[in-house]
Amino acid sequence: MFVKNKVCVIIIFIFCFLSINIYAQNVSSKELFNKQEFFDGKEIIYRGRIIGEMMCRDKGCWLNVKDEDFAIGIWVPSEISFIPKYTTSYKYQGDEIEVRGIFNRRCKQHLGEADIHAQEITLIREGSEVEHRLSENKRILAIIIWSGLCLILILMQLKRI
Amino acid sequence: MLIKPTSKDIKVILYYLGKIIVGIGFFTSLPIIVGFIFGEIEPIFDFLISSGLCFLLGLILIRLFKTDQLLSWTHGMLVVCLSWLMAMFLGAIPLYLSRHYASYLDSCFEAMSGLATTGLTLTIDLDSLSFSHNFFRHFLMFMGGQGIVIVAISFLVRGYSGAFKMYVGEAREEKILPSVVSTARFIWLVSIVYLILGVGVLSLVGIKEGMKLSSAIFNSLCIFMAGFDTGGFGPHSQNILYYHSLPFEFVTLVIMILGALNFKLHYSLWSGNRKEIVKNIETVTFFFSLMLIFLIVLLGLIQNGIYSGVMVYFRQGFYHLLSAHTGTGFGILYPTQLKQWSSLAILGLILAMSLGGSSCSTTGGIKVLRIGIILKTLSQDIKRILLPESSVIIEKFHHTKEIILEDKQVRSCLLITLCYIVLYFFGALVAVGLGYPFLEALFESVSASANVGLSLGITQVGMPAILKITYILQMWIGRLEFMSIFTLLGFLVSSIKGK
Repeated sequence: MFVKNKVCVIIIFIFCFLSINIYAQNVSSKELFNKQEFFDGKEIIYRGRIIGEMMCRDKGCWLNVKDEDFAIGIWVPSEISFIPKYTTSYKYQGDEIEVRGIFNRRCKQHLGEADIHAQEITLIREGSEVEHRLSENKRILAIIIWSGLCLILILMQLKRI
Repeated sequence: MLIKPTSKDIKVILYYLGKIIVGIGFFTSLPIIVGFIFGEIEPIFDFLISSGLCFLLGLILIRLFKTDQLLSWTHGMLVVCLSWLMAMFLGAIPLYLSRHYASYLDSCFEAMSGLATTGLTLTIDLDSLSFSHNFFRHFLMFMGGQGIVIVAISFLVRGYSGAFKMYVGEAREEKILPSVVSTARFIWLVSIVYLILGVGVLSLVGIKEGMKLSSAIFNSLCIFMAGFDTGGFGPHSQNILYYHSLPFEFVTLVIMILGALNFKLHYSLWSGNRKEIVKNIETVTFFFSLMLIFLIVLLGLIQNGIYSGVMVYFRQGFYHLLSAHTGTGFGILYPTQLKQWSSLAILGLILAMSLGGSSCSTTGGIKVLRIGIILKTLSQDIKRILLPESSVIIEKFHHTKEIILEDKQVRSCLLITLCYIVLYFFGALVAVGLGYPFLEALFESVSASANVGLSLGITQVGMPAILKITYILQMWIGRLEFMSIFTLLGFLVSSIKGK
């Protein structure tokens, strides 16, 4: 009987533990900002691409991660080792990551900023180089304009002579 | 009787407009260097196209309308007015070609926002915009802050008699040095010295806060140009929040204050007259209004109870207040978060934005000099009531020298103040008509008219085109401070009704 109860308690404990993990919702930045009070202090899962660069300080690093709508600051404590390979800029599409962490509407540690304190970061999709091909129309337009300009300058010069 | 403008009038206006457009061509070609540094081929072509168009149009106008006629006051004002519109249309071309704007109207909005040092943005996916285009957005602010005509006066049109007329048309009545050209060059000297110092300090802070050297320099350059010219653009979508750094924010506070000071005051300080800063009517009015409005904002935030800790109140409250009062528009909160401030705190920000900084600076809004003069007049009138009728009351104010208060100055101050108030409510009325709540509509309208750039979220790609056009007009009118706009209207009326 005692053993049975013990097993029951363990099962309930595991179930509760799992359900806490399940409770960490997938949230978009729009949802986060629209329901800030609701998500404040809760564990969430946020997915997006890294923008800019990783800025490392004494006790951790800052990452800015953007989904469809907004970018949000992710505080990555020193205990988590994560180094992005690509970050979004003109030439690169940044790594897509999933952050599990605590959302702070007004973080006390960071003087009132809205941020996410990461507990776990998973790389979903590695970023890549973005190929920018010069359009033929732009090339032709530039040649026409600058040829016209040269012609006008020559004409002006000839008139002066 | 209205006199119809002659073809000679149009000829002289278009001739000088051509010269300014050539000047615009020069500053549109500068990002090509940035493109070469960062190896951005497509953006280089965007700027080749737009600068080429500027040179082409400018040279055609110069060639077709060549004249020796001197500029009159009306001509000067009209050249300025039209130059700003042309700068917007031409400056919008490389932005539109970047494919980061939903329409040409949006890129015109961005160009005017940059030139008028407002800082409201409609860029799509700013974080992946090329370095060249991003540099150009901030450079637009730098040029607009100095005054695009001043740029032309200092480099292209040397010492001609119409220079002062165009200088005044750009809302700068005060000459620091005897000639306008030397004044324009002094403004450049101040800006370049602060640019070197500002970029240096910001870069050091950036590196200390974990940025790479090249990135720290680029970000610092952009932030300095936007901060000193009280513009408020940022190279990233999160604006100043991107850096998550208190020291970085502190340096931007100093830059914003420097940008909000009168260039005449800078000249006094540089000449060793340090007492001027505590005696000048502008700095005194600015200080007291800042403190008073900070109290209002603080009360509003306490009413909200959204923050805890003195430092947080100071960081969030004071930073946004100073950003609003100097007309910069840097932000460390998302619009949705700013919207959560109580109505009292929002009203405090609206008040600060509407007042603006010093005259002959890069700030917008009514300007604290005018507020100071109006308050002095009020004090004079109160004294007149309290003292015996026979007493003679002479009110003076200190603005680099002792000046006796005259009715002429008061009239002009009240007129401009009234015009600004009408402009603020006009934009709010349009937005309310389109279904936006009044307080948000007023906030956004004041932000556009006073060239601030803080937003409660109305300014976004999806907003109605009519509102975008309204804000463009407000930014343009607010930056030029009405007189040249009135001249343009008068010119148009006399073209139709004149004899």
